Order: sequence, then C-alpha cells, then structure tokens
Amino acid sequence: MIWWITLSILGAVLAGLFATGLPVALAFLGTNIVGAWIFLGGTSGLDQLVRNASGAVSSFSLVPIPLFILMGELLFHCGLAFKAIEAVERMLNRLPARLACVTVVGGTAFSALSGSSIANTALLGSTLSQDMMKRGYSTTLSLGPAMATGGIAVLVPPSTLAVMLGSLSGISITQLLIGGIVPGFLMAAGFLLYVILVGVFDPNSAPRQDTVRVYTFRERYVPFLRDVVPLFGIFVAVIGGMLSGIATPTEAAALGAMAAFVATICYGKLSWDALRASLAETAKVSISILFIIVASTTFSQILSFSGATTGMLSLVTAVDPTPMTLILSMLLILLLMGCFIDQVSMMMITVPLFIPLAQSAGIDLVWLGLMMLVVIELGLLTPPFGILLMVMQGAVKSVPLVQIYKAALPFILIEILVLGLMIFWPELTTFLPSLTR
Amino acid sequence: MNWTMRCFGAAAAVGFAAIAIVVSADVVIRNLAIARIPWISEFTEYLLMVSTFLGAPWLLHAHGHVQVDILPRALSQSNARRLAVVANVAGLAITGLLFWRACLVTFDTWQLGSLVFKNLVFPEWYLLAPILICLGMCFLEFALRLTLKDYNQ
Amino acid sequence: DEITLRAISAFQPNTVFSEPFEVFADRVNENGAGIVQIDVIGGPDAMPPFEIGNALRNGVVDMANTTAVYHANLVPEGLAMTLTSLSMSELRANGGYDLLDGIHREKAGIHWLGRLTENVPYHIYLSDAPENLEFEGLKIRSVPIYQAFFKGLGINTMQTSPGEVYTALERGTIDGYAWPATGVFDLGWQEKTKARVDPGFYQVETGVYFSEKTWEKLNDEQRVFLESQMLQIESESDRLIPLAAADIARQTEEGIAPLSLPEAEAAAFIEMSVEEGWKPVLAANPEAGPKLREMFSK
Ligand code: NA
Ligand code: NA
Repeated sequence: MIWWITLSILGAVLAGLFATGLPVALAFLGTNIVGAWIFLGGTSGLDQLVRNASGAVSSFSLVPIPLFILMGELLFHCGLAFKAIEAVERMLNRLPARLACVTVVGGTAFSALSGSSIANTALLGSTLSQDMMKRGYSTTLSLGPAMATGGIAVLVPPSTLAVMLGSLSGISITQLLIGGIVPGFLMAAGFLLYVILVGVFDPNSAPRQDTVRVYTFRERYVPFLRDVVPLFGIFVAVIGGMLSGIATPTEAAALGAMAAFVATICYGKLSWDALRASLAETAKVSISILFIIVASTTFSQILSFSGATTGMLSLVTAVDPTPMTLILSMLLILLLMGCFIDQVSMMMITVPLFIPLAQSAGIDLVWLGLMMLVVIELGLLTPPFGILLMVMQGAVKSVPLVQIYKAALPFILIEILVLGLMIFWPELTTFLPSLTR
Repeated sequence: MNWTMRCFGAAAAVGFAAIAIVVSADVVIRNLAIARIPWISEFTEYLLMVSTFLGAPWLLHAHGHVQVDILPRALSQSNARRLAVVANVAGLAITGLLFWRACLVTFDTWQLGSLVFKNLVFPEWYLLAPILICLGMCFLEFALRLTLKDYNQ
Repeated sequence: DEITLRAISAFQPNTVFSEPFEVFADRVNENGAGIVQIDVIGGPDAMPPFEIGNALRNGVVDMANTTAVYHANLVPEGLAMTLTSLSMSELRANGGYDLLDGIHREKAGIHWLGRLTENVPYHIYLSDAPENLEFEGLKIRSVPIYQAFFKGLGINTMQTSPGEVYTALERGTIDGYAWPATGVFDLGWQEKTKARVDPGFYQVETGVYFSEKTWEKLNDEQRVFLESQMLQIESESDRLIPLAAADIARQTEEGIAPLSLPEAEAAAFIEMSVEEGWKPVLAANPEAGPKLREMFSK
C-alpha cells in the first residue's frame, strides 16, 4: 500500500474514534486493530497486538511517572502544597500573575531534577494548576505554564530523551545535554515574560486580593520560612540522592515520594483520608497516562511496520538538498509526526535516516540534534495527540480539551520562536557544547 | 459492579505505592550493602504494568480516562447522547474483539509453557493475564453501560 | 517464481549488529533475483525485540535478524550460542547446529538458518580505572545472561535502563556496565568510560531466524539458495575479528584503558563465566541440556 494511503486510513479511523468521545487509549487500540489486521496479518496480527500492548508499559523508564505524581498528590491532599503556595503568594504579592510565574520558575527548576516531561507536568498540574483554577486564574495561566515547562524537562539535563537521541544518533550525549541548557532557559524566560505581560495587561486573568490589605513584613516572610523552606528538604532528598550517586534519576523519584510522605508526617498533616485520596488520585492520573502510552506505543509500532513512516521519510530525500531546506524539511516532518506519534518512536524512526543525510550535507550534528529535540518536545504539546495535553486533562478533569489546547497555544508559539532563533543563530546552541570539545 | 471496580482501583493504588516503597528500599539496601536484590527493577516494571491494567477498568467505570470531548460538548444534549451510544458500541466492539484474542493468546502461551527468562523465572502467561482481565472488565463495563443506558460523561 | 520475505531486525539500522544482516539481505536481493527477495520492514521501532520470537512463531514476519537471548522465553537453550567456544563450522560439523535448530523448531516453530555474529566477546567496562581491580562490591549494570556470573564475582549487579546508564555512570550510581567489544561507540557511553576489563567473556550471538511456517512454504531451490548465502556469510565470520580489534584500538585512543587480569585470575574468570552461564540452560532442559553443553564446548 502507498504510504500516504495507509497514513490517511489509519489517521481517519483514529480521528473518527477520537471524535466519538471514546477514551483516547481505546481509540488508539481500535485503530491498532485495523492496522494490525491489515499489516501484521489477520488474527495473528491481532494476537501480536495484544502481546505488544501487554509489554508496552513494563519499562523502568516509565516508573518516575507514578512516583512524581504520588509526591505531588501527597503534598496536595495533605495541605502542604496549599500552605506553601499561599506563602509564596503572600511573599510575591506585588508581582502580576504570581502563581503562574511560580509555576514557570518551579517547573524549570524541577526540569533540572527530572528527565521526564510527563512526570514534570503531572506534578505541577496536580498541585499548582489545580490551585490556580481554584483561585480564579484563567485557564491559560493555570494550565499553560505547567504543560510548557514540562517540555523544558527534555532540554535541561538530566533528560532521558536527549540521552536516547545521543545513543541512537552517535551525537555526543554530553554536548547534547550541555547544549540544551541555553534553549531551555531561553524558553523559560520567554514563558515568564509572557505570563507577566498577561498579568499586567489582563488583570482579570490573575486575581489579586492584596488590593484590600497590605501584609506586614512578618506576615509575609514568616509563612514562607515555616511552610516553604522545609519543603526544600524534599528537593534535597531528590537532588542529593542523584548528585551523590546514591540513586539513579528514577530511584530519586521514589526517594522524593517517600520524602513527601515523611514531610506530611512531620507537619502533622497525615490522615487516613488524605492518604487514601492521594493514592486514589495517583492511581487515576498515572493510569490515564500509562494506558494511553500502552495504546500509542503500539500504534507507532504498527505505523512503522506498515511502512507508512518510512514512506513519509522519503519526502526528505525528495527535496533539493541544500543544508537549510534539508534541515527545514526534517524539522517539518518531525513536527507532523509529533501530532500523532510518541516521542521515543519518532526518534527511532527518523534518526537512522536523518543523521547520515545531515552528515553528508555537512550540517553540525549537535546543532541539528538540539533542534530535533525542540521539535520533538513540541510534539508533546501539539494537538490532536500531545501527551502533555492528555496529562493535563487527566489532572484537571473538569476543563474541556479545547480549553487545554488553547492554553498551550501561546507557549507553543514561544517555543517555535526559540526554534527560529536556534535555526538562524546557530551559535546560540553550539557555543556551550563547543567549550567541551 | 461498583464495589468490584473499586477493588480493582484499590489494587492499582496499592501497586503504585508499593513501587515507591520497593524502589526506595532498594536504594537503602544497596547503599548500606545489606543485601543484593537483582530482581527489584524487573519486579517494579511488572508492578507498573499490573497496576495500569488492573486500574484501567476502574477508571473507565469512573469516567476518568482522557477523551477528546470536542464534539460531545458541541452537540445538543440528545445528539450527544446518540454519539455516546456510538462511542460505547465502539468500545464494546474494540474491547470484545481484543478480549477474545487475549483469551486465545493467553491459553496458547499457557499451553506452550514458555518461561520469562530474566532474573525472575516464571510462566510467560502470567504477564498476559493482567491485560486479559483489563480487556474483559472494560468489555463488561461497556456492556453494562449499554444495557443500563448509562452514558453520562 | 520469486517470493518476497518480510524481515524484521532487533537492532537499529546502521549499528554494529544490524550491519551483518544488511550485508546478508543485500546479497540475497542481488543474487536472488527470480528466486527470493528480502524486504526489511523495520527495526525495534516496528516490533519490540523481545516479541520477535513470537512474531516468527505466528508468522507475523517471515524472518528476523535477532539473537536467541531475545527469544529465551521460547527457547532458553538458545543461550548456548552465546556460551559456546566453538565456531559455526565446527558446530555444523559436530551436529550441534542440527540439535539446536531442532529444539528451535520443536519448541517455538522457529528455524535457525545460521549465525551472523561470531568472535565478538563481551567485556566489563568501568567509569574509573582503578589501581587494583577488585570485583567485590562494584556496581555493574548487567542483563540476565551474565547476572549469575557477576554475582559469583561478588559484583553488585544493577538493572539500569539504557536511557539512564549515561547519567548513572556520570553520577557514580553504577561503576560500569558490560557490553560487547564492539558497539560501545554506538551508544555514546565511551564519554563516561575509562577502563575495559580483559579478557572478554562469552561471544555475542546474532543470527538469521525464520518462521517455520514460511520456511515450509519455500521450494527446494529457494531453501538451497538461502542456505548457501548463509553458509557464505558464516564462512566470512573471521572478518569480525579485525573489526573488534579496530574498535578496541579506538577505545584505547579515546582513553579507555585496558585492565588485564593476571593469567591465573583470567582463567578462573572465564571458567566461572562458563559454569554459571550453563546453569540456567541445564535447568531449563535437563534432558537435552547436557548433550548441548557437550557439543557446544571444546
Ligand atoms: Na530534565
Ligand atoms: Na503531539
């Protein structure tokens, strides 16, 4: 079958099932049935589908997802997150859109802890985003930063995807990790600026109670010292565990969850009800994410097996190979794939073709690798299937998906802007890595 | 049904909590050089898989799965109801078909007697049982929704 | 009449262990016009490596470039190929090949056509070059085939996902990992590797495996052609020796120092690797196991 026919059939089935409002995971599974029947071969194909699906989440690299969610839910349901957020609100009460700013800064800091975008967004979504919604922030400010900074986790080390890209492509992992820092922080700065501008020009989107009363110095800083500073203990457990070599990043996530548990006991906030609620929420959010991963991973496998993705890649070799058009078409293909396919599969599919092509065109591989990472990161946010959008919907079930798409849009544009800067100003990305050569 | 589903949810929640405890314990045990437990990571992977598949039917029952709700929200109430019937029939067909194949695959693997050959050695069909239960329970949920005409989103 | 076989590879394209199969497929396609053609449909992105055995058994794919380690769930006896010290020509002559192929067919509906990778040992790599090498207490990332052996050495075995190995080496969460003599550069881990323990142990096995269903459908001409192509590539297996040597030389260039065990220690090291390696095979098949060990050992 010609690749674009395959792609349109499977795409149409998927879109149709999505539209009915069937759970996303089941819509993927339904599409997989069609694909497995046609390409893997009838009933044996369906059997293989069941097997592949069964094995899709037995992966140690997915373990941080429930662990970081558990950490967030414990802090949230035991009231520690709320108190800490309250304290930060007070301290920063002159800043417009304070909590959104806190999300950007906190999310960026957290991306230096975690290599997993999903865990990052799930943690922020189940704490800060939910809290902002309650306080009457607009959906863009409540949900956008948590999703956007989740993507930064891919760029700022540690990053599972960057390491994976390095391993698959032969590009120096060290240089990819170091090179990700500048674009990562540029994005963070862009997000912060945007959030503040929204807060200034649209005061309704970020309510302020502080017009009524002015806090004294004591009222402002004592809660911060009491409610926020000790929570840094959790971060010490996570970072310390990792930097000292006691734990791998995955294991550090477990230490974080245990530290959060201990913190709730120390503050005397642990109750049976709170514990049960945290565990139930952890299960809800984790399962909704992992079940989608089961289905979307097998979808990518079938797409690959059918030859549709290889066919799509042939577009690259069809263009006039000046380095710039080559780069742009590669990034465009990744952007298109990102709408439907998961990030790991995108890399496995494209790297074997892109890297030799880029090499023969004399393109700097570290530069290309970092731009690929940014586009792959964009795929986490682009509709219809962006895993971070789904994660956010799992965390705040009451918000319609369209609102979540809208909340992500400005941040997607900022990321594209940063990507543009990277394309036309290569030194931006290659300067730091060049110091290590 | 409600009670059964909640048991599945509870099992999943306990599974996720167990991951945190097991992984943390492994870090402590390893760094204090108390013992060597080479199968911990494998065990954690299986816990993750089992929790996901056991919890998925519960989440379906609780209408907690992520869905693209653009069309259902845009339609009138009566049309949205019709669409919900379509979605549930599709769900029934998908989970039913896969459940049937999962039964055959699990039986075949059991008959074959193949073993998972890692640090933990055990029959391979153990790993297929969770997805089998998941698909069966989801099928049941869709069947009940259609017979009870319970389509609330 | 020409038949086109759908092949899957357990290894990423353009890496050390996909290359021999690419050579094989290219030759078949070149010399087999009108007889048989191979269409390589994908790598691990299209089929999870540990599922390839089942895919072959059910005829989802016709043939595969994979290793018996990946389908040890179906044929644990296949690990014998990793443990053997004999060459393929010796195994074909002494009946070892027929025995193991028979076990593959009987237990899994898989036909083992032949071996693609020989003469490439595994090594232990370390993130630091110690003055005095002590295995006791080292934290080494390992996979089940050499787990028991490493435990015997007193090594603290760690299961680290490939995506985390780099970070774990950097932070000292693991002190090293085991990997074939070739392929370290494919992963980029050389940046965090300072030493390699010599001697190596075992030998990497990759091979061409057929779905028995497909194999039975082929006519005699097609089978004979494929077998002759396989024998041809097996007869060239010595070409991997200089390749492995070149990778070892490159390791030295990039600052991975060799750490040679003293002769007596090296002998004990190898002996323990063989002894521990065979245990699970013998446990899995008490009947054919001892015969297999006899035929696959010098
Ligand atoms: Na990160
Ligand atoms: Na996307």
